[in-house]
Amino acid sequence: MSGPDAAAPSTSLAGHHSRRQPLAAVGSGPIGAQAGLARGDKAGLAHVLRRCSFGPRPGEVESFGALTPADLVEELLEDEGNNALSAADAAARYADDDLEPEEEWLRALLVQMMQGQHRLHERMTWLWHTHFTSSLDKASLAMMFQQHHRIRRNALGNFRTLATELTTDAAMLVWLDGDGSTGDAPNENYAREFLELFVLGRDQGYSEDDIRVAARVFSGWYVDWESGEVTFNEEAHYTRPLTFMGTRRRWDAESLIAHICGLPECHRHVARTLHRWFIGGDPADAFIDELAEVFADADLEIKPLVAAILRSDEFHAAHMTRVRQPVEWLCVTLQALGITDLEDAEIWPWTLEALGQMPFLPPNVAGWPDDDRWSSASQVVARASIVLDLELPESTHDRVAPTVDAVLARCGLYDVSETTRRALAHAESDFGEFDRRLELLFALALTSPEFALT
Amino acid sequence: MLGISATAAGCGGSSWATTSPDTSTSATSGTDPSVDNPAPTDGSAAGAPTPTGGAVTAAAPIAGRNLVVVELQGGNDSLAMLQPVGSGRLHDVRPDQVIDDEELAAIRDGLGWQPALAGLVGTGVAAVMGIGSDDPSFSHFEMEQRWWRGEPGVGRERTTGFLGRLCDQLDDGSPVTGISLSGGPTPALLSDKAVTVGLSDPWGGWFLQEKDSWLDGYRSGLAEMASPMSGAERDALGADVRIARNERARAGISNTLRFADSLAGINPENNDTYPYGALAEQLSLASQMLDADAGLRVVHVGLGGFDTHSGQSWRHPQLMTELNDALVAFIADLDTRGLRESTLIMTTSEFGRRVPSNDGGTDHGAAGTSLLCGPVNPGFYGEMPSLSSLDDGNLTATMRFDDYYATVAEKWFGIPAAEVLAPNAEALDGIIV
Repeated sequence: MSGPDAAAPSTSLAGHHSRRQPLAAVGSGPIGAQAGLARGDKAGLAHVLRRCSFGPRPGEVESFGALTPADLVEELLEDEGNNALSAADAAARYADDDLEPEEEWLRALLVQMMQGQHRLHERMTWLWHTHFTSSLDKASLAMMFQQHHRIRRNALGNFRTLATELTTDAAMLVWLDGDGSTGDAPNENYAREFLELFVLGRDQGYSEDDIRVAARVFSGWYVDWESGEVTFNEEAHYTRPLTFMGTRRRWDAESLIAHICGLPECHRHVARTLHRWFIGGDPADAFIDELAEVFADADLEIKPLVAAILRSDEFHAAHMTRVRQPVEWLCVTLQALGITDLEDAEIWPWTLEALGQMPFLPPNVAGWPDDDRWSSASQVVARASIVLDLELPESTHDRVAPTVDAVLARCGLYDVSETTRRALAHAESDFGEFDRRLELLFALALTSPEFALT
Repeated sequence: MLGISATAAGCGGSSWATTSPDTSTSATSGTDPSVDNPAPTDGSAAGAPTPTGGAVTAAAPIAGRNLVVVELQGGNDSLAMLQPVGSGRLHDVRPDQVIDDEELAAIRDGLGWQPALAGLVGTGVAAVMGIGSDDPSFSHFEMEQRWWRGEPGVGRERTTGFLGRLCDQLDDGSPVTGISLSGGPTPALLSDKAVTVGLSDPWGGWFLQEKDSWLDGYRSGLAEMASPMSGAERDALGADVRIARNERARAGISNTLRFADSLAGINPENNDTYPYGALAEQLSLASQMLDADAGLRVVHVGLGGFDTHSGQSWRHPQLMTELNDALVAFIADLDTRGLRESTLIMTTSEFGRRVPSNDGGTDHGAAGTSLLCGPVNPGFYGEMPSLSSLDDGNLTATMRFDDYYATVAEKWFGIPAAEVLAPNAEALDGIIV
C-alpha cells in the first residue's frame, strides 16, 4: 500500500513530473496518497465542498455519490459561470451609507453565498475580499458594492487585472488613503499595503524607497464621495522617471503593477496565499515554486493556479486542518437547519459582529486572521448562543430523522471522532421527545469540534 | 459620611446629588472641589471627605490584583476632560469647546477637570498626560490596533494583545483569566495560552446557566464532546496539524464550560447601586465576576461615542457624566466587596483630539490624557503637551503609550515590562500606591 510518504511522481498542471513529498504535515494516517481517488468517498467529497464553496449543502454529498473527490474537483473547475449579484445589487441601490441594522445587503450577500450556482466562483469572490481588503469603516456602502462587483468579475479571471482595477477603485482609494494623494507629497499607505500584503509579501526585496516610489506612481486619483466616481488628475500625478526595485522608467499605475506582477516574488506570494486558503499549514518550498511557475506560465490567470492546488495530493489529504471562519460557519449552519428566510431568522449585522467577522468590515487591512481563535471559548459562546436562538423550520423536521447519522450528514460531517459520535448518541437515546431530540442533535452537531473545522 | 457606602445602598442616584459639587460655587455640600486629590498619606484631608472615604493608601498584595480597562471608544478629547487653567490659546482656537475657568472642578497645579468628573476625581485619580504614539495615525482603526496590540510604532509584529499578554503572565490555569464585556472579543485580549473570553453582551452565555432539562442535555453533550482525545482517536486523525486543530476545538468547548461554572450565580440584573447606562451595566457585571474569585484578573469594558466631530459641547460632558457616575458606583461596589485595594482601573482611548475646534466639534488628534483610578497616588503625571507649539493643530506626545502600559504591567502586576512590551517601554514611578 503506497502511503503518503512515498514520493510518487505526479503530473502538475504545467506538465512537470515532480518527486516532491506530499505535504508532510498531513502526510501520515488513513488520509494519504490515495485520498481523492475513492469513488463515493463522502468525507472526501465533503472536504472538497467545504473548501471550494460554502457547503456542503444538505444532500449535496449524496447527490455527488458516484464521483471521486478528484472528479468533483474537475466538475467544479469546469464550471465557467460567474454568479451575478442580483439581490444584493438591488439592496445597494436603495441603501444609504449608514450601516442600519435593518440593512438587506448583508442578508442578500449571505444568501448569495449559500445559493449561488457557481460554487468555486462564489468562494473565490469572498476570499479575494479577505485579501484585497477595504472597509465600510471608511468607504460608503455603494463604493463597497462597486468594489465587490470588480472582485466578482475577476475572481477567477486574471490577477494582474484584478490588482490593477482595485488600485483605482473608489473604496480602495478611500480605505488606504490613495484618494487625493499627490505626486509631490504622496500618501504611502496604499503602496505599502499593496506590496506587503496584496502582491509581494513582506521583505521581498523592496526598500522603503521603493515604497515611496510606488506611492508616487499611484498618485493622482480622486474620489467623488457623493457619486463614488473616480477621476485621474494628470497634474497631481508624478511624471518624472523613477527607479523601482532597480528598474528605471516613467511609470504609471498600470505599468508599475504589470512590472510587479512579472516578479517571481509575486507569483510565490499569490501561490502561498491560495495554498493557505485551500490547503492550510506550512507549504513545502518546492510545492510553492511549482505553483508559482504554473501561475506565471498562465500569465497570472487565477483558475489554473486554483486547479493546480485542487488537483494536488496535498489538497485531498488536508481534511480538517483549518478552522471554519464565522461567515462560513453561519452559512453552513443556516443551510443545515434549512433556514432560508434570514430576516425571519433574525440574522442581523450584529449576529456576524458577535461572531467577529462582518463582511465589508475587516478588523484591519490584513483582513481576518486564520487561526484557532475561531474555535476558542469566545467563539463557542457566540456560536452556541446563535444556534440555540434559531428556530428549526417545520420542513426540516419533516426531512431529517432525529438520528445521529441523519443529522451529521445534514451538517456535512461524515468523519467525526468517537467522542463526538458518542455524545450525539447519548443525546439520541436519552432524550425522549421526538421534536426536541432533533433540535438537541442539531445543537450539538453545530457546536461540535468537527463542525468548527474544515 | 456622605456618599456611597454600604449604608447608602439603594440610594444610588440620590446620594450623588448631594456629593457632586455644584458647578457654580464650591463647597456647597460637604465636599470642597478646590481641595481635591488629597495627599495620599493623610488618607482623607481634613474637611474634604471623599465619597468613598479617601484615596486608597495601600494596595493589596500582587497575587490577588485585578485590572479593569475602560476603553473610551472614538478618541476622547482629553483637553475637554482635563484642561489647563487660564489658557488664552484654548479660548482662541476652541472657543466653543473650552470650559470657563470658573467652571473647572478640582483645580490644582494649573489644571482643572471637566466638572462632571468631580465625583470620580474625589475618589483619587492619577491623570497621565501627553500619552501618544510614534508617527501618530489619525485612523481609528490603525490607532486602535496599536493600542490593542501594545505597539506604538507603525509595524505589525504581534498577534497577541497587550491585555492578552498580561493574562498569559497572570494565567494560573483558571477557567478564564481575562474577559471583555464590551461587545464581543477584543483583539486586546488575544493571548497565547491564557483563556480570555469576549461576551457580546452581558447576557451572552445565558444558555450556560439557565436551568432547563433540554439545556442540561445540551450542556452534558457539550461536556462529552470536549473530553480529552483518546489514543485511538489520535491515530485515526493521523497528522499533527489535524490533531492540534481538533484538540484546540475541544479546548474551546471545555474552557467555555469551566468559565460557566466559575461564574455561576452572576446576575446581570444585580445593579441597584448603579446608574442607568451601558458602561454601568458592564461594570456591575465586572464587580460580580471579580468577586467570584474564579481566577479572573483582567476585565475590559467600553464606552462608545467619543468620536465627537460635531455636537461636542453637549456630547462630551454627557460622556464624562456617564463615565463619572458609572465609575463612582463601581468603585463603591468594589469597596463594599473588599476589592478596592486590589483593583486598578485604567482608561484608554485611541487618540486625543485636535486642539482647534472645527464645526462644533473636533477632529482626530494625537496625544491625550488617560486616567488611573483606585490604588494610585492622586495627581498629575507625565507632561501636558505644549499648547503653543502644535503639530498642525495636534498635541505632540510627551510619552508613548507603552510607557503607560509598562506602568501597569510593572508597578501594578510586578511583570517586567520587557515580558509584555517593547524593550524600551519604561514604567512611571510614583503612581501606583
